[in-house]
Amino acid sequence: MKKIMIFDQGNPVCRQLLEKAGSLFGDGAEYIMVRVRENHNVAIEALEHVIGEERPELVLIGATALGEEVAPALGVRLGTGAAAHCVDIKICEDGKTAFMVPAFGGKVIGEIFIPDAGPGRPAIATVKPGTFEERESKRKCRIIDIDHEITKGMNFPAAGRGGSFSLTGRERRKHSAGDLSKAQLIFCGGYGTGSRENWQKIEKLAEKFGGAAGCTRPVVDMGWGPDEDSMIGTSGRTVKPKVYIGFGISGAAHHICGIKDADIIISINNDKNAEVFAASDYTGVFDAEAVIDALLGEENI
Amino acid sequence: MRILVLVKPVPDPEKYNELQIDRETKRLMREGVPTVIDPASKSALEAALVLRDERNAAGEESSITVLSMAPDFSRDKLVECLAMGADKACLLSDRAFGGADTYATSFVLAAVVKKLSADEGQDFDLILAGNESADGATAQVPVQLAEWLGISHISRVCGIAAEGKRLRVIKKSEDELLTFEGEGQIVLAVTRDINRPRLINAMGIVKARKKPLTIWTNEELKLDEDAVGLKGSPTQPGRLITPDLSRSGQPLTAGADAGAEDAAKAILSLLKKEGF
Amino acid sequence: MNFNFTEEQEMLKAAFAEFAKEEIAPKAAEWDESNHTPLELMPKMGEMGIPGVFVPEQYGGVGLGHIERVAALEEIARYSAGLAMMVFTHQLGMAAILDYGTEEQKMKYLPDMCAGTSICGLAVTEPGGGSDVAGQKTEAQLTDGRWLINGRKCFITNSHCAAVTAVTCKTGEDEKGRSTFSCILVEAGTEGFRPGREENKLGLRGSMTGELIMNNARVPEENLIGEAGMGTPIAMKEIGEVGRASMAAIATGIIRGCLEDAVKFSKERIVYGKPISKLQAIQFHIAEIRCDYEAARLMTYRAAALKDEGKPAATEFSMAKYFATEAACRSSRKLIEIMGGYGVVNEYAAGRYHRDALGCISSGGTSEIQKIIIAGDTLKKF
Repeated sequence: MKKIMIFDQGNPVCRQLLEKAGSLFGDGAEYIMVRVRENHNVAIEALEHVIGEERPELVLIGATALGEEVAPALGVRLGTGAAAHCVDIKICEDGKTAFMVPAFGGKVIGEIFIPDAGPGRPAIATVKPGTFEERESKRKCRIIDIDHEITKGMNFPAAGRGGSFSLTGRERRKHSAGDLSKAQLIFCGGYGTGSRENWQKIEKLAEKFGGAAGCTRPVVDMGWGPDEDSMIGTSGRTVKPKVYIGFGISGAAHHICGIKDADIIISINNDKNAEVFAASDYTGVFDAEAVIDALLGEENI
Repeated sequence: MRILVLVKPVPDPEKYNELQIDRETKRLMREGVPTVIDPASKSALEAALVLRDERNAAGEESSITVLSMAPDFSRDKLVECLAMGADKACLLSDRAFGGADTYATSFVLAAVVKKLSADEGQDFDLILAGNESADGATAQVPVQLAEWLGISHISRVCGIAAEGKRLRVIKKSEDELLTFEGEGQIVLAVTRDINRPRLINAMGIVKARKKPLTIWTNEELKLDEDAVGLKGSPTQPGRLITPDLSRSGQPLTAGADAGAEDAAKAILSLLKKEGF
Repeated sequence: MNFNFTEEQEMLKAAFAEFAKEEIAPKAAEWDESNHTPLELMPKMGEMGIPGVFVPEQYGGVGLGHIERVAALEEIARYSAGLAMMVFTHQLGMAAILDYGTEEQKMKYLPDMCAGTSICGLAVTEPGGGSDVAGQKTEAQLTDGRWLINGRKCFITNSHCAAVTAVTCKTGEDEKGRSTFSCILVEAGTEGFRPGREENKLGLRGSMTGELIMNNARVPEENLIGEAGMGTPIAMKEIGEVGRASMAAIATGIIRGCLEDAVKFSKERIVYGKPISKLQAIQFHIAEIRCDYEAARLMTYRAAALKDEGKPAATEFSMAKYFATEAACRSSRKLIEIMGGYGVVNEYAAGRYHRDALGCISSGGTSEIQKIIIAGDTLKKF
């Protein structure tokens, strides 16, 4: 690949993608960062236009709420393939680029090739934030600032092709716990914590020790408090803390894949056959609530 | 309001830990894993049922068609959708469609949407789908279907309200709730937190008997076989691997009589060691 | 011969199973421990179509048959045999109204009962005995267009929660001087009618069982179900078919619980470095429970299928009831043996299954009563 375009949505994932692309394709390739921070309708039109002009061979997009809506749309418009949620990108011995995508909650990783990709009909790949390392990058890249072009009067239709839906409001969301993807210490509650009260205790633990609180799918489904933002797993947040402590977690594949990059995984579950233990560094066959209570009242032990 | 809901039958997400790759064929062994309606598809159908009943109560004749592209053994999953309350179902099943990526899948779905609209002489006002399925989880098909049809799309939808012809849609991004408003055809991809799907009841199952369920193959659609299935897919699959995520699994505490407090102590000392 | 459920029946079973898993499984142990009757769940059950699954649509039911009714009971009893007991007794009273009631009675009572907002019961047993139907002492006299009822019923399920109970009462004598009985609907709140003591049971907790006391209770003449003097045949038919079918289904559900728990536990329990499911001694237990489960299912559903075809099935229901309830006792005991010490710890369900299985023996007639019925039929036919 000689020309790689990266969609800069105004968050750190674009630096991660640039770093990864640079390590794969080296100094011989050209890197372009396209900056659009508008809603998806505008972003799709703008990127389609820029890709037509710049003719990159690969377009990398952060799998955010915006990126996930832009990438597949570009796939159809440009008649090319889009690999979703890559956990890695590799160059095979024969020189082909393989996009490694997860399926079945990360239980399986499959190689995806986009054989007909070429200039103007780029391979498209999305990558979840935090998948690749973020370093202070010296990689040179050209910046195309669409936001700037728009303010100068460049016009992209504000709506999609057919409909007429426009953005009428935006509201910042309240996060119940610390930011999971950046957290260095995570306390996570699973179905085995058993109640709304115990979810609140997990949040207290996070507060007490300066970490973030996360949960698994059943805790969201049971309505014990947290929403999908606090859910760790392939369909939720992917986390990379120094220490992860899980309480009452059984170990479904999609959750384990979401915590696989933690430095240390500690699991507490009263079911000694819980699958999470096989993926943990430290295990404790104890009642989750009892250990949570002991940690909350540590001064007494 | 005419609503179309895309429904995907998937291997039961509760059983993904049991999936294995065959050492010889390198293919995924799915035997013994039952097929269920994808949970996000169910949420899409639930959202559709609520909207339909609201619109019907407001005097606007409304209906729900569910559409699925799946092997023909998935027919009973569509009957389940009818039992949940959908009015009509269409199953698209042809070997020619097998192995399709999201691009080729959405291409075929778009052709069906056009045919269904043409047959009934009326477009769908709203197309609902799950944001991402439990198996592939690409989150691409709803967007790509909209693009093939040349209509609007919004993903990660966590709220929908209808006032007459006008829709108000809330999209959840990483740190914002975005409100979109407008009229006209649109594909909305909903996340599972939009609702809690109802259970199927006995009356619904009995009523499902009398509801129309059409099964179409490429005979009816007459699509170019090179444009569908694996052949029509710009992405091509390579090898499958199952990542090894196992770790040493050292017990936190020694001795059989250690209690929860000992576990807490061990955790505290680990935290201290790591600088917390 | 076809031993398969239809696609629709499979779907119903799956729907009932999902309901049971979501609404019953998480609370069953608590209901048992606190002897709580989950009346609050009945409207939800009504939405599912469970109470009235066998009742025609015009009375608010689903319009299916007894196979489907029994399937729902098996799924409920898989997690809570006590709740299943309450549901089936409700259906037992409904069946008497449906089979013998007037159009007005059906329209008046069945829709709310199908919806689970009104609970029904059937009261036959008296302190003098249950199966000795002719020995009942509760009497009803018709004066001025009202029945005046006096007497006491005991071991009556739904005694304290039924809005309407079908009560069998002595109303006359035949030409040979033998008592004849009638079946009369008594609504809760009727003056002179009240529940008495509530029993604290060994098993099947979560269903209410107790006394009904009638002390000059007056009910309108039109509360009679069927004709005067038909009380015994009505009660015998409903208990013999609907009641025993239900007990067989509940026992089948208990056995399935034993089977599922035995498999799960034996695969997870590691002794001498391997799961105990690898041990033949454990495998023998599991094989026996499995056979009991399959046999109980076959007998129960076959009898229900006969009833749905409109054929006589009283002996088949007796055989199913006898076999399934005894098998539930055996299976739950085997589960306790498989689980060793864990089997007697109340955190696990094994002990509850065993208490529930024992509780099933007396309901709808003990094993000996069933054997008398089976022998009577056998001596005629073979």
